[in-house]
Amino acid sequence: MSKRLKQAALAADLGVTQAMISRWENGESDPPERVKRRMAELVQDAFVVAPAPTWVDLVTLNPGIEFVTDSLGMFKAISNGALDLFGVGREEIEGRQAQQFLGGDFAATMDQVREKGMFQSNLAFAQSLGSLEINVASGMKTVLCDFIHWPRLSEARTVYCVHSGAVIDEAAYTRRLEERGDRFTVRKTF
Amino acid sequence: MMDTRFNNSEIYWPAVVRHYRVSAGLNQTELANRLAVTQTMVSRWEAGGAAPSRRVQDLLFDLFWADSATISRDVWMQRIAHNPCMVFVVDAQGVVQTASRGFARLAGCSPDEIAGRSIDALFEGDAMSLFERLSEAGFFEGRIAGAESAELYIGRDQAAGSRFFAHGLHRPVFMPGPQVLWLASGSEVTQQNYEDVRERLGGPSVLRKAI
Repeated sequence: MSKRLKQAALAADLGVTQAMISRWENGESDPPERVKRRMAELVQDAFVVAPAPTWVDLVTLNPGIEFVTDSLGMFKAISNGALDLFGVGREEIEGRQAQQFLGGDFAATMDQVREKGMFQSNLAFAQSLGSLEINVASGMKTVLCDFIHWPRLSEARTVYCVHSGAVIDEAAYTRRLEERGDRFTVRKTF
Repeated sequence: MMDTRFNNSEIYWPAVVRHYRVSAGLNQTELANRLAVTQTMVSRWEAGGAAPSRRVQDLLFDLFWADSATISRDVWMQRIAHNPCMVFVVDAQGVVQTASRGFARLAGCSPDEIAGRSIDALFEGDAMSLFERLSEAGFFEGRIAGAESAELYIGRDQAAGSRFFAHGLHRPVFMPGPQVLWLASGSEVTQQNYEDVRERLGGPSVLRKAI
């Protein structure tokens, strides 16, 4: 009983009665095969299993450019790839206002995403092309980006917006702008 | 160790039920209420004493989806094709269900040319062995919560001529069927970066078991 479980809790997990557990522990009877297998799994799990990561945790680990903002424009999570692009440490910007650091066309894009109803679940997704001005302590730089913006639910079931993007060159920017006809396009939900 | 007790389905329900319940922060009674069954039932599924009915299987996968998404799975799948980052979705047979524009750009073709083709027809080496590692670990049975990896992609056929290093994150998506699909997202990286990631992981990939 290394896990300090009550007999009743273990019984619930294994789908047997608490009396059965007590009999196994006293050596009066042997658990069936199915229970032995499950016990072996539980013992192993105690060492190899960590809590399930949430999708927000996974965003922070992402080597690509990805970040999450809420309806107030706060950074809720930023990927490792985006931190590399921005050239800052996580603690410098997470939990702060995105538009304090990100300007250029992207600032207007964030407003449009909000106005089009991203946080009211009115959008399936939005796409944007344009400049991203990165304004951090180490200096300012501007890159051209292609972004997709899409909704996900936080654990508190409020809508967050995930921004996934790539840095593109001028030729790709021009080509994609022609394809889409507009710098900012949305796909509504029904 | 393959579990062949539930012949009607490849999904390993004890892991799926428990993983969903724990990630949603529910106890067995709360999950039972959501699914309109008894707590004893939930406990038996988690212990492997019984498999959920087909109604509950679908409901469980729908709950998994509804907990993080505001859009339908169809819309989500279509949206991936527009993603400028590296994203792709592969089924248990190794067939690419959808690929992002970002991934297609790396592979040197269009998303339509990748979708519907099997991963080993498109890439040599690393990509296929990653699929095999995931598959053997029971990824498509719902036994894996996530994985991280570093790969060298060498294209063939549609992707011929492409060659890139990538750092990827992998997780299961629970789709109707019920079936588990492999969602890969990541980024192209330098060879140095790829080597650093492999060193940190202590190999080509690290898999995290579902609870």
